[in-house]
Amino acid sequence: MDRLYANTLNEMEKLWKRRRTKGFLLLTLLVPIISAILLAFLQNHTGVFGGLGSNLPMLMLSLFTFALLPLFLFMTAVDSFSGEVAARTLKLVLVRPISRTKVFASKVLAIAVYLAVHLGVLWIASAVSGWMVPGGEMAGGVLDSVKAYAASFVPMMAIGLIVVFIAQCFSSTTGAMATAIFIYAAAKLFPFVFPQFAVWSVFSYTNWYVLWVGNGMSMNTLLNTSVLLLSYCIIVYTAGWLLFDRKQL
Amino acid sequence: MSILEVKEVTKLYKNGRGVRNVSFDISKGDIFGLIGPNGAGKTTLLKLIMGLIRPDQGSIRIFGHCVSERFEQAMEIVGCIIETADAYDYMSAYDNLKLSARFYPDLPKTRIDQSLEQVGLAPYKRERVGGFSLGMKQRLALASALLSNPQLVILDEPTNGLDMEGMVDVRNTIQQLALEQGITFLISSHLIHDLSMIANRIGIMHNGSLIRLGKVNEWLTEEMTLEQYVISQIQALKEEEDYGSFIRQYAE
Repeated sequence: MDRLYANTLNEMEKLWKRRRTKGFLLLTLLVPIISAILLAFLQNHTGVFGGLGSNLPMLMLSLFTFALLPLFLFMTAVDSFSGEVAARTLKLVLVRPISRTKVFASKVLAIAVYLAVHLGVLWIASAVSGWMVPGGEMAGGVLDSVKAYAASFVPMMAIGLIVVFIAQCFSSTTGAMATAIFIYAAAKLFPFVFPQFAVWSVFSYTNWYVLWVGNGMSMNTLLNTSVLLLSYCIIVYTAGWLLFDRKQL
Repeated sequence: MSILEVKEVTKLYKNGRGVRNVSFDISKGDIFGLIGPNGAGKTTLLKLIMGLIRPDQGSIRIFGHCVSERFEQAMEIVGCIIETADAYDYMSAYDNLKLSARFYPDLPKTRIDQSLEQVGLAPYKRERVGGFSLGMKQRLALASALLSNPQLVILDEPTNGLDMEGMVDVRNTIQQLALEQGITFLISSHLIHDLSMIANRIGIMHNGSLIRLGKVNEWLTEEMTLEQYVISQIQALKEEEDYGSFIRQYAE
């Protein structure tokens, strides 16, 4: 347990020390602020988009969970696995007194923390920026937006774990990244051709948070989709761990 | 007492290279040198010992713990440099060692500075490793290998990229640690002269097999250096192989 904790700290520190991580966090912070400024400007000068300030957290969540967060997760997961194989730094951890099971778990935990931090920063930045827009009070919306952000964690993590699995098959970041983006784009487009596929595809649940907003959705549906997403997480985590455990360096 | 036991270990890659049926053990305080030409299987053997690859057959025990079954216990007091001296380029030398130090909660906080001092990197400890020369990276890797006060240190080409002064420093550090603290070393190198100055036992590898194993002082005579001995042994083996294949061809 101590070593799992130690390596999780190590992985988080490695993530933090990368310039890219700080750049992505800055982007997560700036996009809602810039959007709020634009909204305020349009409201004042054209009179349209009134009341969107209170919806800013949900608008931002929609934008980030569709494209930006998956992209950040792809890069982080690929860097953490294929990137370390390519840079020959993975062996630095593997020769220490820590089992591969714990190394894998700690890398995934660091990615989970990274995702949670992004969602947290995005919520704070968009909520505060939303308040600044005239008529953007979040009356009644705070609880819903918190629920939505918390719910988004699950499908995003499932997608992150799929990329972790993909990264085990590549020893170069370019190959892993290209494959992850291709699979994500294909999975997003596939339901347009075969709509029945959407129910089973984890990539169709990036806007899963919508189900958690308000009181319209039955507990049964929420439970079913939760179990589906958790099953995806367990399956891809196990598959990724198996490949990682057998990796020959 | 055997610190490291390698028993009938085989690992063959698809191209037919690897190591075949290698067995040896290392006792406490030994400086064991692994010598052989490029492609002899030295690095593969060290990777097998460190659990980076798994053997097809055989077993490896460190301090009595099987590497494939009780990895954490086996690696508890082992330090190593394998293949190349790699580090996280985007971090400082100090931060690189801090990552390693987290695995050893009993290590005093001053140990990182001591290790950097020991290899002469103290003045550069806040600099990013990306700007280091190959020799500085090699020194950092050595500091990382020695950080946890290990009882067994495994070094793959530890003098790679070092200048003459650096090579002598590394040699002296190894001898000093073996003598004063009883630390056991397994060192792979193609620099036979270097190894002959510090190793007390030598294993010669050729084509994935350990062809000779023994004490340095038993092999050497006044007329023959270790380098000459190693070359003569490999030459003799090649002649045996050529003779064997000639006989086989003739029989067919």
